[in-house]
Amino acid sequence: MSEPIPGRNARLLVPPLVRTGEEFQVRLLIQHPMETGFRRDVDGNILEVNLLESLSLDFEGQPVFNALTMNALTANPFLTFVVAVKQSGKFNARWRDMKGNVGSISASVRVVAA
Amino acid sequence: MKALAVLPWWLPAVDAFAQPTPQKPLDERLRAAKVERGGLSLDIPTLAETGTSVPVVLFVDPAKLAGRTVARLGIIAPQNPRPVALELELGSVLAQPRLTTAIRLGATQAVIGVAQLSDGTLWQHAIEVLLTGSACFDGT
Amino acid sequence: MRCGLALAICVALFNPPSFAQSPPTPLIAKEAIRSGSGFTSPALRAQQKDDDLNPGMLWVDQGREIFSRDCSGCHTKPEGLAARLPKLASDGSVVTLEHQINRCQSERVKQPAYATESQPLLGLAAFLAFASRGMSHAVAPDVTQSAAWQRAQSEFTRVQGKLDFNCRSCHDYLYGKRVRNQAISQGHGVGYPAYRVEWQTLGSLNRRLRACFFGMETKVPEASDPILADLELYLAWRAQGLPIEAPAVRR
Ligand code: HEC
Ligand code: HEC
Repeated sequence: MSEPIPGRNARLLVPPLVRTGEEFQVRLLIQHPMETGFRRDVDGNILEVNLLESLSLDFEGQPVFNALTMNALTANPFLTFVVAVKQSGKFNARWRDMKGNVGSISASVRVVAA
Repeated sequence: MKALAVLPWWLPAVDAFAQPTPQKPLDERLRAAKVERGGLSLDIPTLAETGTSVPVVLFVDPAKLAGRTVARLGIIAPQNPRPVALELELGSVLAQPRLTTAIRLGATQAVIGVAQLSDGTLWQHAIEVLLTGSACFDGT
Repeated sequence: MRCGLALAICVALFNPPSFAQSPPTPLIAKEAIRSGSGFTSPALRAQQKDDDLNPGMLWVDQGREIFSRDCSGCHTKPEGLAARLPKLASDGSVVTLEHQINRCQSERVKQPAYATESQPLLGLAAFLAFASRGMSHAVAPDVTQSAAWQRAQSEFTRVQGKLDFNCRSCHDYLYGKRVRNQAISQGHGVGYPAYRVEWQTLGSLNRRLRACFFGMETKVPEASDPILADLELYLAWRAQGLPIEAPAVRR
């Protein structure tokens, strides 16, 4: 195994079990260098720019968010949101960077009556 | 709000804060956009040890929405080499118009949080962040 | 970018006592010992405390996968393995966690050793250290008799570089203060591999130590230089009783 493909590793965290309409956190953490194009390596060479250029999260096709610009997200970024859902289902996150690397991750939540 | 379609949605909010932006001079059409304070909060440390990771929370006071929803959230860092730090469209699954993340800052500056409501109103909140150190090369 | 020097203040603060003979106990008393997390900003501390926001966990996840694929045949439990390192080999050299992983990788998994600071090596090290969280690095009672400890002791206390500093200048005398705008900790290794926001990645204790040599404006040893492994052993002795807290989040 050699160096990682940017964006291949990620975590999407939701509670496994919630009540109908209960508010809970969705946390997304992606391993990505978010290379700005302004950094240099040990030998002084500029590291080529490579930022995430698309990133979205949905729940069973319903949007949670869709990122239009992510210029200043940190390396290995995390994003946390507060959501509520009415039935059991899956959260799906998808992303692509400037070099065409794509990644995705999903996580299921089970909803029980309030 | 139709006139705004070709211009960045957050621009009036930045102009209202009187920050130099790369898009200046501003088009007259922008003046029509309503920019308000008070409904949006940007929570960011006023002193940041390093610009490589500055935690931010952006949230809207639901009591001030009056039936409207939040369509977009943005963070503008005018002194960054790429001033539009983050721009998100919010979806219906969100229970609260609230975002927690961390951003990079290239310099001491007023960071501007912007929210666009469903009726086109812009809310903004700016916080001056003092960068106490810059990222340095440590030989490794 | 290199940082400018603003060391006048700390030189003023730095007034080293002289030791005719080095004491056989760590200079920082047990009651005063604190890990690096006690010195980072509240934001970083929060990020470390919450595994869901700790980017180091991305490496832990990957290490867990590799471990269950390549290592779990022999090691049924990952807990406690990392706490047994660093240790002394029969030839008197020091075996660090990364050394041991690569030793098992080449001799037992029979695959080429992983490169220094490579993703899989950091992943395995982070996973194993994570699995030993809360435990302390085992320190042999007679470790101070070993040649490795003695080599490290003299390196730790040797004044070197353009600033005339030794490791003690910062980590035994200036902890809690700021040097070049960084809060100085007591210099313990229990959080490593750690995620440093300035590296924008996870890195080993070996890498952190090289950064300290760089900061001292002295010759930076190669990653493979045995003095760095010796120092890891010395640091474990110096940190006796502090629990492992890897992967830590550091500036
Ligand atoms: C000029 C001051 C200075 C000197 C001298 C110095 N360091 Fe450091 N060291 C730092 C700074 C700054 C950090 C990062 C902040 C912190 O944790 O203290 C650091 C971090 C460390 C850490 C990691 C602590 C943690 O919790 O992340 C270790 C271990 C360490 N140093 C060991 C050493 C050793 C061994 C030497 C001698 C070879 C040394 N240092 C010399 C400034 C120094
Ligand atoms: C064929 C069996 C075998 C496999 C496979 C193996 N190991 Fe080991 N490992 C051992 C033995 C035996 C020891 C005892 C120490 C020694 O002699 O090196 C050991 C020791 C260790 C230790 C130190 C704990 C101690 O007691 O000193 C670590 C850490 C470790 N192995 C990690 C790994 C990792 C990571 C992998 C997978 C990449 C792995 N091992 C694969 C047999 C194995």
